[in-house]
Amino acid sequence: MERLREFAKTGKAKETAERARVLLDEGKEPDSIMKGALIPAMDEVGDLFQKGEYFVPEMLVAARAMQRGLEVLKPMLVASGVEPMGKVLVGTVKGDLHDIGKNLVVMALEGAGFDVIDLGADVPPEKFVEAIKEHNPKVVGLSALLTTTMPAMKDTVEAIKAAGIGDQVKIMIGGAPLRQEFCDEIGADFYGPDSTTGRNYARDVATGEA
Amino acid sequence: MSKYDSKMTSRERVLATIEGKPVDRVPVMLWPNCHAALKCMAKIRPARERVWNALGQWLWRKFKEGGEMDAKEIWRGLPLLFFYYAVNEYALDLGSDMAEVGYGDAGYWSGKRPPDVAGRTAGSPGALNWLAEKFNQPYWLENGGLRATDFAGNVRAVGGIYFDVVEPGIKNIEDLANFRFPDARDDKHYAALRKFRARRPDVCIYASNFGVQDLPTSQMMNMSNFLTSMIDYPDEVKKFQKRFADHMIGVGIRQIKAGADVIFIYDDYGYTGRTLISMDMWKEFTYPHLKRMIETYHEEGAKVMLHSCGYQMPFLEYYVEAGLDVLQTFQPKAGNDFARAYAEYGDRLTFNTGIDIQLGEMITPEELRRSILESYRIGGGNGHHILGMTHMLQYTMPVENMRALFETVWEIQAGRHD
Repeated sequence: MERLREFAKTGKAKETAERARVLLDEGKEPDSIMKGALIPAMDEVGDLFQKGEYFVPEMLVAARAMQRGLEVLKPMLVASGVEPMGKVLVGTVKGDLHDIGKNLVVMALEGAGFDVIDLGADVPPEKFVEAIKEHNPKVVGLSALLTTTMPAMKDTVEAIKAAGIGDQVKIMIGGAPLRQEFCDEIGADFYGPDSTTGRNYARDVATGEA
Repeated sequence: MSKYDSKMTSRERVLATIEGKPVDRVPVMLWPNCHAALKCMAKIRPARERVWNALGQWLWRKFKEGGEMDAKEIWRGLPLLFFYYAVNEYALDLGSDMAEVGYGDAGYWSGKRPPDVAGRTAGSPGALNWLAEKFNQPYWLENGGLRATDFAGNVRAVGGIYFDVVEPGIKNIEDLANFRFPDARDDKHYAALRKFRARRPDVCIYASNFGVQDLPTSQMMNMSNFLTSMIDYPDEVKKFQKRFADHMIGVGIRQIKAGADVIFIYDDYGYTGRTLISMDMWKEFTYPHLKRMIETYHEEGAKVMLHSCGYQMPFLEYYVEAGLDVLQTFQPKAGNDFARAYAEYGDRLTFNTGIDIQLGEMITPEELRRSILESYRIGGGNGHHILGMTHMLQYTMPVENMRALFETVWEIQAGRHD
């Protein structure tokens, strides 16, 4: 398990997948591999990022390795009826085609065991509303890189509330131009300055701590 | 004679500031994006050129009437025609001492018509598609929206108010290794710059150029792919960055010969509170090329201004070591401390900053005015400071804040805060 954790943490995708297969062949439960190696590896990656020891490229390769490991485990996890941490819906708001920040959040959430529905970029408010109704996520994450698309974030929060589903989902927002004051102003539940903070918030929501 | 009676030209004022020589007043660089420029024409100050002004005000009305980001693609996209006019002629109209001029004709920036275009246009018959096909042009209508390929083979579309990449042309490391830059040697690519120089001999012209980190990640290869390739294929990425820098240096030398005073290297290295890549990685991949570009442009007789968004504090000592003349934006929102940076490096590096665009959208006009004056008191008359914007001015800034911003700048220019 320790080797798998190290492979994932250091972004060795091929080795991560191979080691996950070996552990399965040795009879380890997929859920214990996930909780004992992959999730702790991504937690460590998040901590290293917050401490300023990891940067975006290291995060990306670690997340990619985690994905390869997950691909090996997923069929077994599904077959054994293991439930994900919860569902999170994410997307970059209307008018904004930038997706790197959103992608980092997706990777951090998947690394924490969430089932993530990624709506992509340039997502209009009504599409967020439809997707919330369809997937019933615990958290919805809105991303924007441009100050010009921040109003679309406000429109999306308003659309979710107007659709009467504001109480069933927590809304977190993130992106370079944002601030806590903007989050308060538009009535979102949480502002995350980075992907790790967003992941931690989603985890708190899933465990009932937020 | 007071210093406000002096007859320094904008060009003299900027260049003297960069060299740490006395000036009559702080130089100013105003940097509106196209949509913000249209709003300013309608609400703050008309453009001097009547045709551009009328067109600008009409486009602003159509954009507003259409609901801004809800407006039809044509009304969101057409203001992009003002891309350079906003940062040169109109910026000067607003009181800027500096004007930006690009390079490359339409042929340089556009790409080839993709082989699968027939399938893409199936749902959008029309005259534009017929004409584009007949004349083998790299644009088409797809599902009612305009698409075009650019120099890097990217497919672009109007997303929000920009013509953004929707499908990257360079998909993997092999594509990156095989990429061929468009030929930029012909004089025609610098004709606009030469004309602008002839028309505006007294203005400081800064010519757009690109560094090796941001354009490849944001406009050529998908950012995630490029950043992971730096770890997976470091040698191939370095080879590409060397070719990229060689190409841009060729462009820069021609820009200087065509009349540029300052080469303006766009290259984002940071974001909020962080550097995008580690300092070790930056020193290994990016810094050698930045230094080489600066040295070459200096040898050719120009100054060098770097645009880099986001957190900049750890880079400052390297900028100074490389001989960089001007650092532009220096955003407080990203964690940069102008007072501290200026106290430590303000005798060797000119800071182009002080008009906080990000914060300026969210605070009161009076708070914005105070923040500009506060920055001016840090740099201003002490030299090595160009009073400039911390990013391109956006149309989303409330009009009262825009008014406070420009009035404060004009008061500073008139010497009312000395």
